[in-house]
Amino acid sequence: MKQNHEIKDPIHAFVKHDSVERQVINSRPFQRLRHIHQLSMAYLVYPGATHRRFEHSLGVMELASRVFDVVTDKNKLNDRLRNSLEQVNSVDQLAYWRRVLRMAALCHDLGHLPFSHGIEGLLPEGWDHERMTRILICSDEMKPLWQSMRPPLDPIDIVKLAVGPQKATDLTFSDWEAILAEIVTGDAFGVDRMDYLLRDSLHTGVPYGEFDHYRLIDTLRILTPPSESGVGDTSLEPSLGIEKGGLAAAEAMLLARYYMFRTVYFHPVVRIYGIHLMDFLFAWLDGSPLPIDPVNYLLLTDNEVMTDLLKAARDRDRKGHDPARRIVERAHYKVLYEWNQKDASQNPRIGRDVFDAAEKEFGKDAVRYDKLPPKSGKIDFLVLLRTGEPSFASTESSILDQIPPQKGEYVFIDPNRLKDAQKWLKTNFDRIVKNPGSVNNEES
Amino acid sequence: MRSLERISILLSLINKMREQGSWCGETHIQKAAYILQVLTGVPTEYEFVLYKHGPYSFELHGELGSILADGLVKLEVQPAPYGPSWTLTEAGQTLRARFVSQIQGYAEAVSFLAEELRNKGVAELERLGTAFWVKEHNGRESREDTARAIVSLKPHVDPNDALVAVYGVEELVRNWQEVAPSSQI
Repeated sequence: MKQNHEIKDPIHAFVKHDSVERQVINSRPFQRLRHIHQLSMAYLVYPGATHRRFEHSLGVMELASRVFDVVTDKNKLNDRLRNSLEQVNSVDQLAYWRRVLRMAALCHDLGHLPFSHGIEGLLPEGWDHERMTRILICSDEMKPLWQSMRPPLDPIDIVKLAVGPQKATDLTFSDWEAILAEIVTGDAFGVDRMDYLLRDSLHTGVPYGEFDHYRLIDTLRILTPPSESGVGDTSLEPSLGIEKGGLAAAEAMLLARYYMFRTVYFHPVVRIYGIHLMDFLFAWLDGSPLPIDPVNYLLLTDNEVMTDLLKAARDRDRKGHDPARRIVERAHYKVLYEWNQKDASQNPRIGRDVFDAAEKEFGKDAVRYDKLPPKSGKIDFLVLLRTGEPSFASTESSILDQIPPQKGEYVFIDPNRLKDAQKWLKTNFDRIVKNPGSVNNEES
Repeated sequence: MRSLERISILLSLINKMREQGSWCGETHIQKAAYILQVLTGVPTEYEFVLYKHGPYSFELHGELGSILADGLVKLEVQPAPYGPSWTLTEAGQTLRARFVSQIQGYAEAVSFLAEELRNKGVAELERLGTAFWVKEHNGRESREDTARAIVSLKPHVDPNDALVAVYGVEELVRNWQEVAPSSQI
């Protein structure tokens, strides 16, 4: 019987895997990802963006093992690291962790909701897709698959690498586990990011997302830092870095990230469709939170939501008719205010203040607020100089500190009120920007 | 705590650290913010996990990115091979000054910590921060047990340096008790 398999992929040519990994790919939780759009409703703006979490997850697995093979090559580690990271000295340990990493990369998005990130706000308080990913990896459905592997995998090891220390806050990470988690989820070199930039770029037709990921991966290294401060001693904590020869590829990836956020992920029309979708689902669920038990969770995909959304758009008596109609008829809300640094430097909560004031003026139903965490902000990493000494990317690159940090923050208004609202904002903006937090003292 | 108050405290902390001569890289700010929370009880409410160089808050990392985007702080690149320093912009100074009265109750704690940590490097802050972390999570262990716990969490830390960090925590606690307003002990 055939033990090795491959799946054709537009980014990585082939995603290779063996028969036990194929069982995970064929599992119900993973197959569900065939029905979750990678970029939510971005296809309403970029019609080619109809790709799904399924192929992205395969791509992340492929890239994760490529990075693993490069950074654990003993010839590319210094003596101190070879001694402190004992796993690199054991063939069995390396094989175990390579498999854990591949499975973590494959399953890192298992918990995604219909239409990906857009509707996470409808989960109960304290829940997000990473928490659902963890539950699904540790579920009775997946556990036998981990047990059937040789050696068997501990699902908690998979969870750690799949969601990383930011989301698995109750778990302690060793230096080794922190580095492997960085391979999947890391800000600078995470393969999740590498794959989605390349894949989203291809499918949206926005070419700014491309970069030389072959060179980038080949030059990744595990490094220990120099003194960050020029005072005191130096921490020996290892982390992922890059050879100086790969710095241009790293710069290109971070520029790609900047442009993809600016043009695709923060696109105001993409964002407002996400808000209308959330409004529809809120009505569809009668204000209840989304289910979090694995059985019902797995039953929900884009297809179930879209079927009811289309029905609601046609029938004014159905729940969520108005937001559904806005999506289907492209009658979305328009931008009233967009974050910019000039305003924010006077009032760091300017977007929220404009929203609060506009809501008071035009009513709750006419105004929507959207805020995304800042992206393309400061990312620093270690660079191995040709002399063999480590340095920081912020020192070695003259480009990285020029990439402007950006925020996605918008206030949207019902298109029927747009002209009035623009006039109102022109009259009142000066007062709002000069009095941070004065409109509504409640926390955003 | 309201977001504007929290931003004002962060700006105030960075400002005081620079005034006291701290290098003020992100690691310095992360560890100072953590110790500010656990030692002096300033309710900034950042969620910390044990990660890069000890206690680390992704939320704080995001907030630093946010105020950088807002133009309230900037990064000063330092000569190789050292990392950059954070400093307030003119707009950041204006905003900080504007909210001085709202965060007056935390000024003593911010000044105390900036002075105590001013000449500490990344590795020392990593050990000190991790020692606070172990104390916070493991409770009343002996000094030696605390030092052992630090080494088990951060194997690259020398056991003797870990023990020094435990003494460092005790000294900081004593010093804070001497200067703290009674309501903040």
